[in-house]
Amino acid sequence: MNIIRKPFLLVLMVAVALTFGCRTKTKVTPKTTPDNTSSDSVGDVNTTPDMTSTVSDRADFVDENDRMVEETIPSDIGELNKVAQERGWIRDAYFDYDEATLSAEAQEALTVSASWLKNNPTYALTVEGHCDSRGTEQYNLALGDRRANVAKDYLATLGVDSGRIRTVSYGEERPFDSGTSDESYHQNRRAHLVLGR
Amino acid sequence: MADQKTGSSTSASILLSLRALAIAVTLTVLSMQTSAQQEVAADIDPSKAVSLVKIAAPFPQLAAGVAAGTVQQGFFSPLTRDLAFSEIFQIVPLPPNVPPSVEASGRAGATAFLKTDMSTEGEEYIVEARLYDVKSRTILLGKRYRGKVGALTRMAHTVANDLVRYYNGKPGIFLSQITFVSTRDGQKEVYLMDFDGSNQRRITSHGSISLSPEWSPDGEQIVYTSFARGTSDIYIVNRRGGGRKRLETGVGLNISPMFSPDARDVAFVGSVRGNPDIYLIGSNGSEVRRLTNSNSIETTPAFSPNGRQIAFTSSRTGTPQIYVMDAEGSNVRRMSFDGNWNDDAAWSPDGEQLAYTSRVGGKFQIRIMSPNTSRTRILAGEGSNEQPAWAPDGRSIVFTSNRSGRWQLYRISIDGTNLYQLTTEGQNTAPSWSPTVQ
Repeated sequence: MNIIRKPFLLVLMVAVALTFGCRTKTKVTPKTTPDNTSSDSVGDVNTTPDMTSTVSDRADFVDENDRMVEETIPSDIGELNKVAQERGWIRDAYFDYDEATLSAEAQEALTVSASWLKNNPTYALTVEGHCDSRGTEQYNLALGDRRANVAKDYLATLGVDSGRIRTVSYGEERPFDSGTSDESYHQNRRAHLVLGR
Repeated sequence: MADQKTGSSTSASILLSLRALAIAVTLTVLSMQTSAQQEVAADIDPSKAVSLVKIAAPFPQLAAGVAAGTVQQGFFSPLTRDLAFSEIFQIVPLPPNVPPSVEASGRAGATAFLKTDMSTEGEEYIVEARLYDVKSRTILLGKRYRGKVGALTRMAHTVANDLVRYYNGKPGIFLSQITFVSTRDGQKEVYLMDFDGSNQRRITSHGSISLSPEWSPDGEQIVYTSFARGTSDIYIVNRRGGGRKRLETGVGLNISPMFSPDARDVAFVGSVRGNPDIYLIGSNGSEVRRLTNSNSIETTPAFSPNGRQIAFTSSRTGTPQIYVMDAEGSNVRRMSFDGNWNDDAAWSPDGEQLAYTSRVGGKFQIRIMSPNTSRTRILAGEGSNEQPAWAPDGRSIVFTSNRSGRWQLYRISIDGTNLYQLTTEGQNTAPSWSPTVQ
């Protein structure tokens, strides 16, 4: 089953990436073939005709709607998580200090994530709650649980099947940034979205 | 650690003398001062300070063929460390080249003489210990112990426990153990050590995050949280590391587990839809009950020693504070009012005091409160100091501190003296002190 489904899934995901206009770092290769706009225009009469491209390039001139972006959807789940985060298909929600309410930015991030998740219904999702290290261990585990569930509930209200989503709180146990600056603390206060099979 | 392990009886007795002097001075000063300081003085029982028993406890008399080095390391060093730690005895050194005797002890100023004799029989060591009253020359206590070389330290702790029990009627803590979490082998795992930091060993190997171990009332089991399955779950394991079982709570989070004093239940923090509350589950896995029902965060439950109350942390007023409720969940009252972050409440063994982690000026400190009066005091120290746990005799506390740049466990007497570092390897947190085991 899996062998048959995967190519289909890949195509589906590319389509999704295009449809939803997600932020993408993939470059579109610029057209470098000869510009044949001259065929119906005046001027450039001295240009030596390029016999190899005259006929075949007509299609480009007529129809530019088949431009495409090709991105590889990693089959390895770990690699997929990395790529999905890098390209912004899946975005984490960040929190203020000792808070478990979603800011406008956090809601926006989860909205983007929900779109991708709804269009890729085969993946499970784990929402990890994380805290900065300034509190106490046990309280932060509870706070992380609250953050993870707030994010889960929001994804559910956006139409992601909550049965796909599991939560886990790591409190301050697995910081993303071990520093003690405000930016480090900010990085560590989040609901982190992790795709699974 | 090396220095601490090889401490001689001489240095121990000097330490004790200084300590006795310090207490005497403190008491004198305090008696002239106002009630604010008497809050601290209340923890120092004057009768204890003046009643240090001057004891001569010389190196054992060895039968032919018994290796002195083995006896020193396995038996004599732990015995003298125990006596020095007891806050009951002051060790009186006997002059060298004089055979230990009741008379020699008396001349050296001791009122008690601990005579020990060590012999071997096959692979077994036999210790005979006799406690003499110097004045009357009578034997107050006589015990005989036998066991292989690995049991020598246990024999030493047992002798010390017997001596403590003889003088103050309460069992000593010298066979008690501390369970804790350490990263020394990579991930956070659960470890054990003897009360003095010796004999540190790992009892879990989840290869995952394991947290907050707590003893069963009989000292035979440890309950803790681990992420071994990817989610946080409650496990119970024998103290030697075997017989592990997982408690199916049916709810999420599953942190801060703690046995009830009758061992029937485990209190823990469960969560349904992101609402952490205090729950109970039978320690055999039966019947989950919810004790708190609040929209705020409730965490870190701690049964009082008589089992009738549970202290916990709640953010219901906006910041984490310590509360106490009856064990069925009713009659909730707020206990902590100092500062904007309090957690990790721990009852003293007599139920008279609560120690907890309290934010003071951007760092955490151990605060000790008498619930009856709501008065608190701080066991101040460098760095952040968190997660207090009481010794079974209530005279000292073990806690974690990052004062050295890493999280290490320290023991301190509750009057703020006798600070002693227990761990050195890795990051060490979440200590829990066993009940007294014999």
